[in-house]
Amino acid sequence: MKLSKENISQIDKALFKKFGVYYYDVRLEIVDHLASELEQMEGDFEEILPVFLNNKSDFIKETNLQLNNAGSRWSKIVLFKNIFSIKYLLTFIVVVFFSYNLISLKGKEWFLEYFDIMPIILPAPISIFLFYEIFSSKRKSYILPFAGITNTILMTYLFIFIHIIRKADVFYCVGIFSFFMTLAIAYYYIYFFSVRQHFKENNLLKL
Amino acid sequence: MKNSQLYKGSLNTIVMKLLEENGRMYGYEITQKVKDITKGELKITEGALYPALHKLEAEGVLEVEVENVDNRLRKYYKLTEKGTTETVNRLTELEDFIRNMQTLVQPKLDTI
Repeated sequence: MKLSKENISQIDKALFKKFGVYYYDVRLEIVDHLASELEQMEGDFEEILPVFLNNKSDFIKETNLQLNNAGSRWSKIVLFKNIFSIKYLLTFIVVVFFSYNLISLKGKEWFLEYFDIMPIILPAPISIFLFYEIFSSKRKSYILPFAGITNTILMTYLFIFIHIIRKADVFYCVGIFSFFMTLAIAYYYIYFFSVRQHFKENNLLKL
Repeated sequence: MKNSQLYKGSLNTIVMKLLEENGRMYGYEITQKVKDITKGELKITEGALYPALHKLEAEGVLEVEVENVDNRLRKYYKLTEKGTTETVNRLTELEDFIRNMQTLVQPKLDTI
């Protein structure tokens, strides 16, 4: 049987509502597989679909689970590859140089009063953007793990390390601050150039 | 796929070999091709296929093309340059494995 746009949309909705396939990139792959199989069958689509989806339940659940895990694994690999890269190290050195000079120029008290919160403030726009993407209808499987792990690392600064640098001497203060400040800057780079570049190269951005 | 560790371990190689021969393929097409070639003897477990494809893609062995086909988007997988070289290596490895297994398992004619 030939499937119409409405039929495809019905399969898509069933995957979302009945099987909890929340990510669009995962859903489109399962939709194409199921639609290809349905096209080989004869009969009325409306009658066949519920039984067919029931029979395919294990495949849908397993593929959804595995592809969610793959998306999560991939985003972590991209993040840590960037953190342990030469680019990150060079940015870190520049930030260390900048922070050290700022403290020397304005004093540690000034730095702690006006500047130590920057690693939390700086990523706010991209976090809002990713938050929007997570709740959009075309949410992708890699966004939540990527945003989740990056924000969790940055949150450790807010809840733990910011208190440490307030008590520590300038050497540790500059080192810890610079690491998180570099991550805050790299957050933009990793997402817009590393994550999205991969999808651009693979022609996946139009998903 | 047949419930055997031997087959499960060969899934990636089977996929890569098919892509080497056919250029680019989509998920369902791969399952059908395996079924056709083996006359239904071997069926790829669908739940294992897509994770395998994604893993190969993450390793840089495969690349993806997305196209609008029959009212839906379809992901086509094809080998990268690295993937083509890797396929040759894996097939050589598989051939060696089969030859060694034959030597070990089959009784030699001259000893009978």
